[in-house]
Amino acid sequence: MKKAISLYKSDLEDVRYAECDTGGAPACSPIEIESFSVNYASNCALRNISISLPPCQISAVIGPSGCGKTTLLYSINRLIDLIPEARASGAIKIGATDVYSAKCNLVNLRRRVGMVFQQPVPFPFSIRRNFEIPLKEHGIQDRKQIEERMTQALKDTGLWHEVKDRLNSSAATLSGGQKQRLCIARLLALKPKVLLMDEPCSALDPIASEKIEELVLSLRGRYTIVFVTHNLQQARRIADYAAFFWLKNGTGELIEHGSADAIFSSPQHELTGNYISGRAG
Amino acid sequence: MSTATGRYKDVLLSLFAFGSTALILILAASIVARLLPAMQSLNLDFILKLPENGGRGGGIYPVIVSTVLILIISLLTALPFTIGVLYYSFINRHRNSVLLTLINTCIDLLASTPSIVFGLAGYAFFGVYLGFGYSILTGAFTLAVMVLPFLIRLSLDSIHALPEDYTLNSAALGLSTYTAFFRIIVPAAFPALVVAFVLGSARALSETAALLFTSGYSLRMPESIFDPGRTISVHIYDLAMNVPGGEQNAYKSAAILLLLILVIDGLSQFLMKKWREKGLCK
Repeated sequence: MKKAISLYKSDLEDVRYAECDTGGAPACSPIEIESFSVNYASNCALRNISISLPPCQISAVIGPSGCGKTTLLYSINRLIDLIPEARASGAIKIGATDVYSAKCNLVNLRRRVGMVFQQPVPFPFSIRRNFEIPLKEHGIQDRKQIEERMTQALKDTGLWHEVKDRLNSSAATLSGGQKQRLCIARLLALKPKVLLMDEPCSALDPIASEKIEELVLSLRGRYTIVFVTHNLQQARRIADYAAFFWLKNGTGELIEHGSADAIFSSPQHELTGNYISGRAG
Repeated sequence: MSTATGRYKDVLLSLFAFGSTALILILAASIVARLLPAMQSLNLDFILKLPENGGRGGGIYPVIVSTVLILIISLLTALPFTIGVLYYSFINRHRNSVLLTLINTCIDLLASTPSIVFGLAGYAFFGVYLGFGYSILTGAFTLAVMVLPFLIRLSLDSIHALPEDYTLNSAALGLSTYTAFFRIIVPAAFPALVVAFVLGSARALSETAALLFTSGYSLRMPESIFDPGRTISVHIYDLAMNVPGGEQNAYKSAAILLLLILVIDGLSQFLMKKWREKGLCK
């Protein structure tokens, strides 16, 4: 029975792989969002968003609470499919992949587009098991290969020296900052192209937060990173590109976007200026 | 509440709380007091010898074998159904599923059905319609249907108690629903699922009425699962009600039943402690 299921699964993946593969594209892909809207039941959460996020750079998404920043992230890896009554329209392309095409395989999409949440949630098993489960799901069965990818990802996130002697103990014993870095490492082990980060520092203390920030900066150039944050100083420090969202009549709208320098030093729109200088939001 | 009425209510409610604790302790003490003499005369012979003289003398070996067989078969039968319902409710958790509503209604109905009715219905279906007669199999299947609502309700609750974040993180890592359920959700809820099955088996062990009609009265050693067999609870009932002079062995059997439940309970506590030390559960 299990074999039948896995056969069925691999068949499906082979067919869809080609449609959803960004393997041929450069190491990281740009994200093109075109006339994209999201409705929750009768509420419009995002209206007509069109923006192109540059590859291999850190794009900060800023704006007040409820302006649809998280909804935008959830749309890029189609986590929004999990939210009942959410309906998306418009197009999002990651490299050559049409995310909302009916043929897009979500498993492959989400391997390529990793997501970091506000609240780090390691699975309540050992640190090693946290890597094993996703890697095995994505077809890496070989113990040695799993070990290599885990070690590399833990080194990339600076966690290796802190946990190398207790890979078999529970991930629940880690501190908040370590948990977040573990969650990032768990993603990196899958070799994604895009990283979506939804306020990854907001649940952490300043020191842990600084470490995550350094980590994100060290990943620049290797992944296309979309970074949602409430913290304008943080956005200023790390972003290459910035997009400013605002809430109009309960609906999130994209007000202005451009290089981070331009947005932070000479915003074109009055709302952006007010928000950045602290007069609004 | 800092007013006089508030304090009065506090005292009253505390009295009820103390009262219920005292009531339970008194009941437990009276059970222990009655079973103590029986426990003192317990020995391995009682567990390993065949009964004599309609259960008045000898041991309860066949009864223990039947009990264990019925318990294991009924839990094994209930297990796939429980997992099926858990999985189905997991993949449909955001939808208004007609089937899930129906399942929930049935669980409530089954949970409030008197066990004697289960006995009659179980005998009519498994015994007569499927032709298993009075047998360990009929008893085990009937018991499986009986503990099923209990198991499903407890395990559903344990899965609902997990943070939604696990599902979200699993999906974000590209795990299929199948993997998310069997590799993340079930292992994460495993300690609670074990507790559900321990409570389920304690309930199954203490069941009498449903088994009177299904697994039968026979005191003989069952040669296969198609033979009738008597569980400890049924044995206690029979010795106490139908066998003059059987009281002594009824108490001894009751002591064995309680010990059995304590062992199962202790084993699960022990396992849980081990897992907790390994940091594998909260």
